[in-house]
Amino acid sequence: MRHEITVEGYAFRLRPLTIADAEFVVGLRTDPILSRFINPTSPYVEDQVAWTERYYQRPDDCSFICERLSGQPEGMVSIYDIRDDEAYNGKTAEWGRWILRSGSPAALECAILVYRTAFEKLSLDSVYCRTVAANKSVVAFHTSTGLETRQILKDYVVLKDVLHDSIEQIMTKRHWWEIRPSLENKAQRLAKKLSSQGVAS
Amino acid sequence: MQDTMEDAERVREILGVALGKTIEQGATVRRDTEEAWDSVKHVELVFLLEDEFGIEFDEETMAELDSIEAIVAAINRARG
Repeated sequence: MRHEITVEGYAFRLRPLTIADAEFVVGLRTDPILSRFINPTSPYVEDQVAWTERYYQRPDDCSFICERLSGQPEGMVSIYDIRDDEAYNGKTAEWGRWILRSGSPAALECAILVYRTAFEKLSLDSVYCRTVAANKSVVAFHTSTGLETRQILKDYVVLKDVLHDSIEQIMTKRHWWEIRPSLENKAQRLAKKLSSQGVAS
Repeated sequence: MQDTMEDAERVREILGVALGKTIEQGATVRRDTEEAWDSVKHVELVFLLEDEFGIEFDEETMAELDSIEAIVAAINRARG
């Protein structure tokens, strides 16, 4: 949907995805290394523009560009399928479509900004992600940031004609408030480091 | 050479702390094959190395710290 949510952190911010970001997003999603665990993406910018136009029509879908405070884009992330769901004990959503440029130091703060958006802006009770099980570094990342495994989704995605399991990991609002200080301390130190090198802002 | 070997030993121990596991002497540990070496652990590793060796890695170097050998080489460069 067209939203106006912007959340600023220590070195990075999330701001709404726009049609002007199409070329940047296509560049990320067609990178052979970055795209190993995502569905094939059209290499044409006009197809991404059309995708964004359709995305604007979906009321339960918020997409963002993660960028430095200077405005240099680092990646994209979305919070979608926003809904009330008894199985998740309240208002919930999935976060995903997460892709950052190679070597980006934004991962930790981007995740923090996703949780701040989910719990402070969208008033969710929980937010979860579903990661291809073979994408072990991302599963490990989510574990390191405090997510708890909720379920294994057998044969959940098809990548290059092969079925893959996915792992659903969840963050509840209550757990977020418990672990937020520890994550923010790391992000703050990293931002200070990037700032001292003149690259954060 | 002796300094480099000592550095490698210290790096091995620090990497073990960051990854939460014992890394045997001579073991090959690479970021792209070590599943515990995620982006959060990498940030923690960078901070531990900088504190231990009294150096600072720039952003480009941070992304290159993907093995014990690469870390030792980066420490030597940072020392000038």
